[in-house]
Amino acid sequence: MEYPTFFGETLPVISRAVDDDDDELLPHDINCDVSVRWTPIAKEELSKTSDDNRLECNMLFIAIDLEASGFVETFLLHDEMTELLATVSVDVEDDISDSSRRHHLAATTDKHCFVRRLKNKPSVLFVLSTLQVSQYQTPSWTDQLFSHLSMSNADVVVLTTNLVSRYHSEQCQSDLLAPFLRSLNTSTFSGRPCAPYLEQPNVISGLAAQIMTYLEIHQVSGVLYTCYKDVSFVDIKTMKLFCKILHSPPIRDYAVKNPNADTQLVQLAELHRDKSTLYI
Amino acid sequence: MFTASGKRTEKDWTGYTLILPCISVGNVGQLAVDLIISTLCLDKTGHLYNDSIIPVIGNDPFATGDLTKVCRLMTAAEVFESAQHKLIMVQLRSSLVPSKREQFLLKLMSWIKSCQFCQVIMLTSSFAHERRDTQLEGTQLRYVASSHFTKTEAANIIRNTRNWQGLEERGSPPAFKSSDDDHNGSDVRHVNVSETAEETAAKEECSKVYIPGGGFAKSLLQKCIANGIPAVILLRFCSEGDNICDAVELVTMLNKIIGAEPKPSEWWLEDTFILAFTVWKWFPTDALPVTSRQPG
Repeated sequence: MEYPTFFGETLPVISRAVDDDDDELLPHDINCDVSVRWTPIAKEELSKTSDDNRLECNMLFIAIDLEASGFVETFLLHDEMTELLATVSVDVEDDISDSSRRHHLAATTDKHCFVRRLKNKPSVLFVLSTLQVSQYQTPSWTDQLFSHLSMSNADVVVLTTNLVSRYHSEQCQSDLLAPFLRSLNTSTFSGRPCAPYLEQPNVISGLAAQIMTYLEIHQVSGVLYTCYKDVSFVDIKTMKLFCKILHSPPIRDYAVKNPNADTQLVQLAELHRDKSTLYI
Repeated sequence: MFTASGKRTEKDWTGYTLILPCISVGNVGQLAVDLIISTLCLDKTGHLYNDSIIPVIGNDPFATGDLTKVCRLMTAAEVFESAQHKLIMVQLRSSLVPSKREQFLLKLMSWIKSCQFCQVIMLTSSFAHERRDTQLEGTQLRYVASSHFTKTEAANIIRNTRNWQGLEERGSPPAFKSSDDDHNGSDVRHVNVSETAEETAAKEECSKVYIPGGGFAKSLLQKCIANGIPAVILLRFCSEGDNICDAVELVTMLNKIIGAEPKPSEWWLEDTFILAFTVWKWFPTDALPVTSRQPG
């Protein structure tokens, strides 16, 4: 939408209101659904459960973004004593209008969002999502996954990252010592998070927001930790910052010592650095 | 759609007035609702949960004091109650999924009917640049009342208040006719619902209502008419920017209908009176000459 000014040139005008022009540009058939594919083991268990096709879940870690997933893989999952339960196929945020590319990506990104659990403690589940889920697909993602998990006695920990440039504060941006952690919890969460609460007027959107909304609505105990970082690539410092939460309940019961943590984090950072095509 | 928060149970809201904002230009409706909630210290009674609402969370927007030690989760659509004033207020803090707008309105309408609200008041705004020449001067506030609303007590107040002006009748410009129709019924084709006689009559009644940038106000009004629920739209012409003054004027207009006691100058503007949209607005309390900006 463009409007002329007093000086003759035209300037783009952005409006948050729904606009005639906007509505014409937006596709009405946006794909809002994701597909969760359960493994044969999970399917068999789901069919046998007494709790309305739901798997038992007492502890659920959800890592959104590469850094959060890297942290979970290094400090909570590293001993490989886990088994795969499901994969989630999602569309990529920027490509939802391009159907040919969408199908290609949907096929190749299956493994970027998967559900695993500990073999020795099957009620401890992990969801690792390394791709950004479209905001239109987050309700489907949440409903489909949680509809197969018994969440009534579950503690949920959500880990995610944000750019410090999106952090609103009275402090000057250059004075903020990134990375730093902020937290939010649902009303049924009984403890106290180990990071300061997120201050007004900051907000969190996307998949993390949808998950926390679901937990609040269904009165499930949940805590979210978000790490504000000042780098766009996968950063060891950011991943290590999450280590603070390893000492807080209920997470400390699930932390495992990893003597190779540093090496693993370096490998992870290098892997994503090498695959980055920015400034190649 | 509605979920009571915490241990609260769903209450009987028969005879209550529902006030809800439309996501419109300058977010004036949402700012106005924030202003009322903070002034009347309303209690959060629950959430609206639907997959058509884009998720957003944050800390309690109305909390004061040390914000790093208090957490009450804010969600994208919350419901507040004032038993004293018999008011239910909905606050929307994010936009809707474009393809699910009609689905949201149908669910909302179904909830409104089940709650048996006595009237629905929508707060919205409209593009200032779309005004006609006759609308450039005088009050910038307008109202659009449904035929059922004209029989209510609130309609009497409107009729007896000077300087309250109904929105001038105007059809959609031919260039936008198809997309405007899209706004008010195109999604029906996706839902595949055949039009009833009431819906056709409601469409006819709203055919001359034109609120560019007003969000779903017209669509919801149309649905209220079709369901026989008294409804009114209160709106202000404005442009994007710092729209706090517009919100204060709109609340002052609304206050005459709901009679919420505070005089216009007593509407409390917090230091961090905010709108939890992607952009939050900060302003100092003394920046706004509230008393000097009353309409009429």
